[in-house]
Amino acid sequence: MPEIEPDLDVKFEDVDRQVLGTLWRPSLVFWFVAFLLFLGFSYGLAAWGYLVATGMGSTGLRPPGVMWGIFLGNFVFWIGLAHSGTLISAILYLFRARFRTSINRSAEAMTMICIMMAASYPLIHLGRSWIFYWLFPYPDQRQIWPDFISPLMFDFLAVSTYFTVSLIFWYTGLVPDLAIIRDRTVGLGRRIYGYFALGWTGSASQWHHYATSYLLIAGLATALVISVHTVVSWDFALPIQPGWHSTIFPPYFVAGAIHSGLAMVLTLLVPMRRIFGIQNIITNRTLELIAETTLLTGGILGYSYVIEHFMAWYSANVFEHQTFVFRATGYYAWIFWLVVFCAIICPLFFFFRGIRTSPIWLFVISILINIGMWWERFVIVIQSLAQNYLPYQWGFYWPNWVELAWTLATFCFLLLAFMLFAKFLPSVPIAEVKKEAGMPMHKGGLYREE
Amino acid sequence: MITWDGWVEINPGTAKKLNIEKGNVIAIRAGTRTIEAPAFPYTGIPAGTLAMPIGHDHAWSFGRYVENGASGNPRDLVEGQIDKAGGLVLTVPGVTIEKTGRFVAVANADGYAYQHGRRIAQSITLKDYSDTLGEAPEITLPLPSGWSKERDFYPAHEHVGYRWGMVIDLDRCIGCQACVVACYAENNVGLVGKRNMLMGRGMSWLHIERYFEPEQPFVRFLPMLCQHCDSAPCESVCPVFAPHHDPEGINNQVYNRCIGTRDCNENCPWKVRRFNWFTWKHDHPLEWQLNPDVTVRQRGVMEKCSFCIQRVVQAKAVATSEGRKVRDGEFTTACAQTCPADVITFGNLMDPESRVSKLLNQARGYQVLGRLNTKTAIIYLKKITQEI
Repeated sequence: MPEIEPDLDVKFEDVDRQVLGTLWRPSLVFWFVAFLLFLGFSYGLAAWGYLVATGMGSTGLRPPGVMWGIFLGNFVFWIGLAHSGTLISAILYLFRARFRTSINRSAEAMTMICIMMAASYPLIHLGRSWIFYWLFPYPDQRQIWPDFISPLMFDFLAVSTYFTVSLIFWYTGLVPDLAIIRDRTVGLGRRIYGYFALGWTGSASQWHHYATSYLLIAGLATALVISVHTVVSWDFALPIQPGWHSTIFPPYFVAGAIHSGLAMVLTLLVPMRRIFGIQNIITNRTLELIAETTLLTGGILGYSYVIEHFMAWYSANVFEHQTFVFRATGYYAWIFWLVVFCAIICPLFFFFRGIRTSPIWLFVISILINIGMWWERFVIVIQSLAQNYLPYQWGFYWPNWVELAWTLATFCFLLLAFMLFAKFLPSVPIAEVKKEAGMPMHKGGLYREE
Repeated sequence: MITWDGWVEINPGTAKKLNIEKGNVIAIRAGTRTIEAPAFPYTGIPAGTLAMPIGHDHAWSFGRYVENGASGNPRDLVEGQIDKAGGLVLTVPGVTIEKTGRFVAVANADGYAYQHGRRIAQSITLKDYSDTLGEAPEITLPLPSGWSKERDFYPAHEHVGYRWGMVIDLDRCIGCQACVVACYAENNVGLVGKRNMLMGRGMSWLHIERYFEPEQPFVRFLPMLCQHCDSAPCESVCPVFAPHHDPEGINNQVYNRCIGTRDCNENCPWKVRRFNWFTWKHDHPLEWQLNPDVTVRQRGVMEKCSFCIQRVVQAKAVATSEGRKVRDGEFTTACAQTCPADVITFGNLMDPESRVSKLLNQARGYQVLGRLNTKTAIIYLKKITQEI
């Protein structure tokens, strides 16, 4: 049996140097790529402006059935991506899974970015987005509150809670590392990092408070991992549309969310660790464990597909039945089979050890899973609406350039924001990696650098 | 159900044989006369026959809204003979057709013409109808009597004075669409143009669904409008209370409050809600034909059938000033008023003596998608068929 690689392969005294090395002055290529991504993002912003100026009719939305297009599909997709961050940092923290140490910071950063992008979609999708704040339960002279029976209200509250808790969790973990950077920089950088380091000195009492609060927030965030996508699934499970109205949606959505989120973590980490040369901190073993987890989530997803189709047949309900026959054989069938191939069958290759330990294969399959999971949301949202109760109302929808422009913009923003994050903040939690690397004992006492 | 330009109807079998698809422009020749029109395969036409409405191709005579070039006028094919009654002979035998290779999109409003095994537009044979005379229909009325602890989580709505409802007799409907036109005129419904019609964005609050069936009756018309459910799916999903259930059972849409999530439409099984994709324009002098009793809507808000609430309000105001309740039949909705076959009856369901209450109380009454238990206020009466 081959020897299993260690989770970490770094010496205690090298951690600071290696991780802080990622924050060095970036090359021209970095700024060039960042500029291109910024252009892509600006294009999306311009499209959004055009949409607000003209009206929702500038999208490709095709009523009376399909009034929710890829804006809502994207919303579910991005919220899904946001899940793995908290899964890795909170749930794996509570389970004491050591491999999470090196990747939790970047996964959480990805979570933050993805929630922001996800939140943009319901906003851009509103017919009158300039009065979106009517969703807030704020006191006003008209004395009307939002309707708390509406699944959209659940959604709004769940996503904003998730964002807040994720932000606090991410920032809490960042404080000791910000202090380390503060101590290594001069000038303006020192003052900025110092401000956010909140006067961290690394004393025993500070560490004590830090560990306690981190554990508590991890517990809170764990509940949110399950709850957020459950609530998002209620947007679909509570309405009485065939193809949506199903009790399997909450677990199915959570599994799908984690599935796509883990794939996106692989997509971002494989190039990042190569560019920064930190393969010894984010090891192949870590990536392998993520790949093994996608085997589980992909399995749950595949099972859900089978159950959905089985129940449609078993219910003997003409509407349900027709919806799922249409899903597998109708106008959008190629998308469904693309999803089955990309999101269900491709991860099965991770059963081969050679594939799940090869970064190239991991990268390729993670991209395929991402593609599959994006189209999966297309199937759920749009295919279910295209053929509904009354055949007179059927019609097919394809997104047009406005919708695709903002979709492109959000992907550009993810990459851009992740690049900036990796350049200005330690993408690997220094303090935690040091803990895992083992405290070196030197000349009978604690080794101190410098 | 075609909304813009002209077209020529052709039997789907014939079209398939000649490799003609919907929108292919075909040249029609009779002797030396030729016109062109986009083809529209339609089951209602016998094989080997073409049908075309008179009056297309009037771009030269009407100004700004008629687009030119899509279709010729079949008048140009007619030889000009006068029949015995003094009318123009409108049948042209022995025409030849030929594909021109051009394509014009045909903006028809219907999606699919078959029910796919759904019992949406129902019928009953004359014998069954006679056998069941006097029996009660299987419907769930939108009144407190329609609610029960076994089926409903929430308690019933209490109505104050009136519970407006409608009976639509499918046996009378001839599919003429006069009600649709009346609704457009009464409620300032926007006109969207050909491009948006092609994307299914017609704003009609009321439309006639037409379904073909393999058995009698082969063609069924189903006037479809907001069902004004007592337990409405649209009301529970709006985050800002824009769909509002009023004490008289009407499902109101509060335009000022709507922010355009469109979730109400996605949860509506009948898909009768209409969204303002743009601010539809009423160019001068067309604004003068707007009904001053009804607001016009801006882009980004949802709208739908209101049961002509302006007429309800007016009738109640008159009744109140005279110190009485609104009498049955004192007023009616625009669609019911316009219908030439008296298909639509509007009235108060709480009054057992009203015309609607008496009409719906027969065995052929049913609700479209009644299984969903939303307690719709539109009661349909099945079409009666008989073998001759």
